[in-house]
Amino acid sequence: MKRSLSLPLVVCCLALVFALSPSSRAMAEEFSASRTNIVLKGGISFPPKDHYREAIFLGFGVDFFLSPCICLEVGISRFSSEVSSLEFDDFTDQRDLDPGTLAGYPLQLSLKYQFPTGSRFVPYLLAGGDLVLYDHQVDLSDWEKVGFTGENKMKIGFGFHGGLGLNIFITPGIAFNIDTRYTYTITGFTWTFTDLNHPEITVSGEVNNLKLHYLMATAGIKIYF
Amino acid sequence: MKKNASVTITLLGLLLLFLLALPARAQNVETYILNPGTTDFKSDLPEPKLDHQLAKLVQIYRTGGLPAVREMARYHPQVDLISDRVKVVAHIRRALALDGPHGDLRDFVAFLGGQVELAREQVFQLQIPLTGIEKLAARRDIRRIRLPLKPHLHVVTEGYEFSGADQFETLNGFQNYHTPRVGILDLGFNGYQSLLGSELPDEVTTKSFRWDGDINGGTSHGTACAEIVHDMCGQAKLYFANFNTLTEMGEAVEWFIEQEVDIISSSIGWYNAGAGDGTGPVCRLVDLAAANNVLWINSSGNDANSHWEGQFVDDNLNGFCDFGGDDIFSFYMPAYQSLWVYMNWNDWGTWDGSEYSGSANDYDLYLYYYSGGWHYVDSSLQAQNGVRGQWPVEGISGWYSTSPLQWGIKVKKKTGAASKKIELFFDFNYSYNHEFNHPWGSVAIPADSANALAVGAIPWLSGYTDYYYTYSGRGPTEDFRIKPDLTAASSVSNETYGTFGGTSASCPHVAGAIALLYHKTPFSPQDIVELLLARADDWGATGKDNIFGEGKLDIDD
Repeated sequence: MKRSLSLPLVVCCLALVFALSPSSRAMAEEFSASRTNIVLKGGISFPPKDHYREAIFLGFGVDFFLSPCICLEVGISRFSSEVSSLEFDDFTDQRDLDPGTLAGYPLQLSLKYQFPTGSRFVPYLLAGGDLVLYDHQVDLSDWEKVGFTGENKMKIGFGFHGGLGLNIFITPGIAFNIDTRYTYTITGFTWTFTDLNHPEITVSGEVNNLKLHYLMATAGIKIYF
Repeated sequence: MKKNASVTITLLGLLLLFLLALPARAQNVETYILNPGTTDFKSDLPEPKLDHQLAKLVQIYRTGGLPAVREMARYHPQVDLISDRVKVVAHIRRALALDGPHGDLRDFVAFLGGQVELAREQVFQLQIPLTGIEKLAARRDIRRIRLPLKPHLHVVTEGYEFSGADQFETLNGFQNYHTPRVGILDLGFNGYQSLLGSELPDEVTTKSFRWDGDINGGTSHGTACAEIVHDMCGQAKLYFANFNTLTEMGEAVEWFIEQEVDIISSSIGWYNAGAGDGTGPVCRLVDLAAANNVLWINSSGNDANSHWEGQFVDDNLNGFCDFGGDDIFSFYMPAYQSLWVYMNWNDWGTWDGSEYSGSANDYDLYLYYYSGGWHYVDSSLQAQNGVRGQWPVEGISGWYSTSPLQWGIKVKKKTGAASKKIELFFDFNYSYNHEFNHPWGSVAIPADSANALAVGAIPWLSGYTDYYYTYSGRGPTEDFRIKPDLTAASSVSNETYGTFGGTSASCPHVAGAIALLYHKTPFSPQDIVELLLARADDWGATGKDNIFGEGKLDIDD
């Protein structure tokens, strides 16, 4: 996971350095970054734990400017990740999701600071809060063969995020955006496990304080109004 | 930039070297597991041509002599000790070996007091005295000497597949990976050490409650049971406790509770130890386990063919119970086999949690043998006159004959005693020789307990649906509850016994199945019992019956 993190970080840092360079500043007047804009983006969500796989991430966001450098970003996105099983030796008392497919729909509200470079390269920093709708579909095909069924019903997750990004203006109204942000959420789920042929034999439980955190690296197009 | 890169590479290189050095350093610290009786093993290894195990053997011989080596050999199946000679394999250098026909090597081994068993290519299998191993290794034509490699049988009970447990092998745990703790309660665990890491887990926790502290206990019965539990659920942590008396058994059960075992597997039965209605001092221990959320799985006993019960009837008014027209209940015993007969009658009184109120109806038991007529041998004449704690039991044991013989018992009711239901148990190993048999109600104590899951025995061969082993203990209990609760495979393959039969073999299948489900599912052991009873294949009469209980253990539904 650490190796996966380094690439977007390096790209963002290089872009930031380039954006702040004097040569870029020459093109300053052509581009005004302090305008309401929408972004369509896609990327990869890097998982929090070894038994969660990387997820394809698709999102949409709107920036509303409060001042020339500060804006409010509202974003909604979706990712879907495979959750594999824990090995017996790795299992601890800390309960986790059962194997299956985990989809997440993060609604993110961010406060964003754009560096006033005056060039076509506009880096920014952001931080904000998250509300995430999770949906976990447990893969019970093997269990059903031996007469059991079950489910993990996810709760809404709450959390926060922080990150940085760069807008690169292609034209005065369109910019290429790269963004990376670390999101940390706390959620929970209820589970049930039932004998298929004797449904009266069932057991259920609740897991709270499930910490799901991931790094999202995205690229997208911004359209300015 | 280049300077920074080189510094980074150097640092990474140093880190790598450090990391690589870690396992090497760890390997220098050797740990030796010593067997009882052996002396500490130091790093002063003998002749380098000896492999490690053999070098250890030589070292142990140097410091502890032959007794220490014998002790080691007890726990190491790869060590073949024949008197003072050990079986080894010597590898010969090809060039030197080709110089001559090995004849001098054979002579040399003989000179050392050993013998060559086999010679194949450049490998000699030989027996050699412990004193001669290093002398042999010193020869130039010997490249290496080691203990012989041996195959190890991995015997898995057929009950594993028969019960459907194999279907769970590759399943991932759902919301769970309990490590079940299973206590094996038995008389002895002889030979368990040699099965660790193969037929048993790598390690087990043991404690002997015998007065002499001997976990072996003179029997391998517990080891055989533990093998089955391990076959059924390889992830279960096993606890072994052995005992020889009821008092010791009480200590053992309390120890299991202290160890927080989830399941106790007990393939042990008791005679004359309770009213057969789930009360009594043995069943009290089951209740104690249940009160501490420990499941008790018990074999239902092997007495169905060697059990009789019936109302005391004395039509000829001579005071003796009538058995088929006379007063004698006859049975045969082979030569030199000690007999035993246990009798009780339904007059235990009230169980107050620690003792029965006692019997006021006195019966006695008499033993005879037949030789041209019936001859008196022995009697059991305990008093039952209403004193608290006077159990309605009699028993005779220990008699044998030097040739096969017909024996007989008589049951006498003392004057004034009420007519009660008599129950007799004979040695089930010779049950085919009994004059009368009444299999119902033969369930063993403490399988009669409401808190014990009683397990009967069935064959595992395909096509034998609804078959059962006729010896398998049956209900009902004295308070008319159906027993056993389940039936499971018996006469299964077993490393300890070859073939392991009786309800003793069936019981650990159920204990292991519960452990397996407890390991893989979020159900509690108590839920799992409910699950197993619901999932059992209903063999025999529809519904729960006194032969199969709820039916055949079938966990994959």
